[in-house]
Amino acid sequence: MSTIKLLSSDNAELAVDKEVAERSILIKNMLEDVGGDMSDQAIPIPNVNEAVLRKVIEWCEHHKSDPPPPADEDSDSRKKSTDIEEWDQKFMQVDQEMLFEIILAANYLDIKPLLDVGCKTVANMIKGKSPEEIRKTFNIQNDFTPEEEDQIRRENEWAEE
Amino acid sequence: MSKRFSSAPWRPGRPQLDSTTSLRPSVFQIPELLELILLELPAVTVLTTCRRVSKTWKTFIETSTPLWYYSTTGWRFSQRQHTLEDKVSSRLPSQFTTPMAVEVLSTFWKKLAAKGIDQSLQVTNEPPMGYEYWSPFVHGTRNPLAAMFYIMTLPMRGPICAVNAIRHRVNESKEETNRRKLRSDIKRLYKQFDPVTRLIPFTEPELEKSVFKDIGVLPSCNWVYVQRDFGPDMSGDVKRPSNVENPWANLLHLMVRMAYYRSPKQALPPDGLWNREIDNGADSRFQCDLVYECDVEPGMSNLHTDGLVFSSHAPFDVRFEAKADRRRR
Repeated sequence: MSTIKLLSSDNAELAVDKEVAERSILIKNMLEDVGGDMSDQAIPIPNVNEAVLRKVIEWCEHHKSDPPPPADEDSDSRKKSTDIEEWDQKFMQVDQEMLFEIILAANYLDIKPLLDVGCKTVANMIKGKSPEEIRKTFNIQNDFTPEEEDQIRRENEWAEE
Repeated sequence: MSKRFSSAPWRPGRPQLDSTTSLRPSVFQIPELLELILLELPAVTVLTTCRRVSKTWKTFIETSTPLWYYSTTGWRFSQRQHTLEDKVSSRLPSQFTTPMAVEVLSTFWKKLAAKGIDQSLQVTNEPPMGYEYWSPFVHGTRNPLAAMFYIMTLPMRGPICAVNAIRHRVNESKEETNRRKLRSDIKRLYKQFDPVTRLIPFTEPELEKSVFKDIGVLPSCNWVYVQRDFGPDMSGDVKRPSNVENPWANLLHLMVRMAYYRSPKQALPPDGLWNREIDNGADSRFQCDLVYECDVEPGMSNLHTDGLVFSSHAPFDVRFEAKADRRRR
């Protein structure tokens, strides 16, 4: 099995199985473009640092033999939205900064299933929280004026307990 | 190779969404990612909680087509074309109503039930003394959902319209006081629900445009709830006045069928319901007539009648919630 090298944004070279790296559609397409021969040259991944890249590779290793995702994205697998398999749940038990970095990396590297898991993890963190708790959790600024806030609160009174 | 890079989904040069202070762009500041995350949440959470987080989120949810569609209907935008065709071809009312509309109606019923309406009130066979014109709901707003919401809550609204037709079971001597309290409770509740009924469509919005386009335009429609002493005929198609060529009649027809199909049990024997207490039966469907007025000729209006059946089963099962609520207290 051939191995390729990836170069993180902080200049760390990571060797990885071609098959594993090709979970990334971005890398897969790149390798196709150059005819598959990248054995002597590291592929630069300028947006992802070493720590994050290692995490992403760990995920790709574990999922290397997953069947390709169904082409129809509205199939049942999509509907069970916040179900995350156990291994992925453990994988995603990282601090928020790392979680966000993984999502950004998955988006950049075009690894749809990893992006999905990341988004579901964040969605689960939002679930069951009040707007104030969401702001706190994710450090989001409340940019409503008091009047606007009052109005939107009244608009949502129906859903309150 | 560089071409591939530039076509990657994340474009650092994109305008950022949020005003949060962070050196790296946060996931929430990238519209595509915020969209993906919010689409994983229940639609009602997106519509309520998430729109309250920040102005930026609110604006984004209301301007992103997939998010706004999802949060107001409960359906995913990408499934839209498919479901639209399905619905037009089958016209099955249970698939007709948006999940969000059902959610809102269901919440309404549960809230009302939490006030003990089904426990303390009894609908009797006395005819109502007349009916109220709910003109603010029908005229002026031209909001199909407001009208639909009105119909769907009729069994609960009934006691307001037909004041003479209810009797307080627990304390008959304080009947009028209790009625007044009930009326004000319900009115408060309607006020709460008014904003959301303006936000969410009752059916697929595209369908609403094509099928229900003149709802709310007819000048002389109004509604009244009365109780009937026989159940609606569900043997075949629901009967409705044949001379009424108006969208309201079609709508009512659909509503009757929807309420009927939603319930897993058969309707009560025709004469059983109104003489007994609502909450003591194994099956407590609400059966009622919907009488509506429309012009058959210029200047000549007629009352028409349609049957509605509401069951005590999901999504309108109010009894269980009411009991659970009481235990908590």
